[in-house]
Amino acid sequence: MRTHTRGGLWLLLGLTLLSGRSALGQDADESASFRWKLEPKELLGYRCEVRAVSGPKVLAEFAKAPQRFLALTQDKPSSPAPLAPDSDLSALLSGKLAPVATPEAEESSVFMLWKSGTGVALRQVEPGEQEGTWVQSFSTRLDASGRDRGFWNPPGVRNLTAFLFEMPSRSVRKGEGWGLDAHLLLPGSQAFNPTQGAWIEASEIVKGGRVTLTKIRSVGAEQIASFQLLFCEHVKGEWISPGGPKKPVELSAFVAGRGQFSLTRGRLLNLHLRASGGTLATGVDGEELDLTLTPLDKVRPEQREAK
Amino acid sequence: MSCARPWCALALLTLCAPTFAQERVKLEWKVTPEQPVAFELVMSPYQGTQPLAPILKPGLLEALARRRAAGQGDGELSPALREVFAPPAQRSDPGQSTKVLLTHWTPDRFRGTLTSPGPGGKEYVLGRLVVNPQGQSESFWVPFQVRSMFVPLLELAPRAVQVGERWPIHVHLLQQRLPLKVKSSHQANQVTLAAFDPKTGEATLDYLISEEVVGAKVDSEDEPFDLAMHVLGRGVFATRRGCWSWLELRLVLCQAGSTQEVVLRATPLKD
Repeated sequence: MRTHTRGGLWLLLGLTLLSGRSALGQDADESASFRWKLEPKELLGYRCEVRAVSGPKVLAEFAKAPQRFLALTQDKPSSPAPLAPDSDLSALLSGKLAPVATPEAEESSVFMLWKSGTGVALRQVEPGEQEGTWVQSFSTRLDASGRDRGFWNPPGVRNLTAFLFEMPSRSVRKGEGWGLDAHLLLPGSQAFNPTQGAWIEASEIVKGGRVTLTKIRSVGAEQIASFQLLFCEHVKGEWISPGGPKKPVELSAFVAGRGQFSLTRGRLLNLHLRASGGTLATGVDGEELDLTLTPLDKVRPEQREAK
Repeated sequence: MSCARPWCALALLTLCAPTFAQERVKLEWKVTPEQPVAFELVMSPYQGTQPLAPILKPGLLEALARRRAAGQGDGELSPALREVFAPPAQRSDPGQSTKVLLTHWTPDRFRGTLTSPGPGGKEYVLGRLVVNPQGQSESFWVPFQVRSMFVPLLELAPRAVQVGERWPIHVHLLQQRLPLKVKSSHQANQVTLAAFDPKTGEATLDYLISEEVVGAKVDSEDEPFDLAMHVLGRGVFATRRGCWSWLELRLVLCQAGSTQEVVLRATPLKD
């Protein structure tokens, strides 16, 4: 009987070594499972503010140095050195940079989420032309991790939903990163709108980025996960159109920011991003956008019923 | 103590057995400065006796992909689906011919060009893309149409895979700019390593990619809207040469009650 018990211990040890995890679950507090959790008939609303940045820009310094930005997204940043702790980007990622202030009277877009099957339905509404009216911008469906299942929507819409609502589909540990189903430089973004037969002969391509789980903390009975986002895309080369002269081209897009997600209640608590170039910042070439998402106490009837 | 060793050995053997039993297969294009990869694509209307369009009920392919992902197998497949996953021997149907050429840029990036013959022996470029050895697009700036044309032909597996393993590829088949009120939607995006012959190094891949949307157009008095595109088929990738031995995909486009069904066949081009 004694030898069988030892055999069981050996088996447990073997399993532990093979799986590479703690058999006693002592690391459980350091990993997070992100799931959107909405009650039936609950309507969750977020106010989305997007403002051009007129003050200090966080991303401008990386426009000509995308490799430096990309290095920040790596597990072990090599060269160049990691981010200076007193930089504006550090302040953004640590939550110390205040969002661009919004005039009280100015309306913003509203996102509404409600339970749909095993996932979540999502709508964005914006103020209409007539005061007090609201119109729908788009609707889609997310799975329980927030990944956009609205494959029929244009890429710009899928990008937006990925940056705002997509969480990892697997459990992640503190310090671990994950990707998003998003692309920044798409035809139609920036001054880049290729015609039939035209193309970019690239001489340099930089693409990368990830979301990283930075902290898990308990507030009462609620577990809150903090995460940061860093994404960039850059292409340099020649713009070639049939019969036309070759022109040099260089396109860059960056997104950086941070957010908090309640693991217990299954919802985003806040999100603050800066975007420059690419689809998130379309229409403002060379500008930097400040984007925040904050929960609404209540969705107004005219927003809820917007068509 | 004497009992502990067999217990331990048994546990280790049981856990390790699947790892040793199955080889991991790396699927990569092999392109060098001296040796580009070129293959011909022939597209022709499907003329066989097992068209897919009549049997593709909404959600059928998504359900099949889920069954496969859950390890429940294919179940009872209709003859049309059996044919698409086990295409008959190569035929030489006349059709529209295009060419895909992969040339070396760097050791981990290749330039892809899709060309079509034009009048006077001239070749017209239909699309260009930069890919890595796994065939994943690195040209994030290219238009949707070029991406959806290239990706099923070029994107292989993101990692070394075992027989039976499934993964999605980075492709979207539909794109709708009109605001839609969607009633139902179904999606499948699943490539499977169906078989691997270690003697020849040939890997057989199954393609099950499908997107369907049914609803109404928001801006035109709720006019009904339905659109579906399916890409199904099978190909054999020669891992030693790093190119297709052959690939045969069935493309089905259903829109507002009309259907187009074509066969796309890829075969290597010799120099």
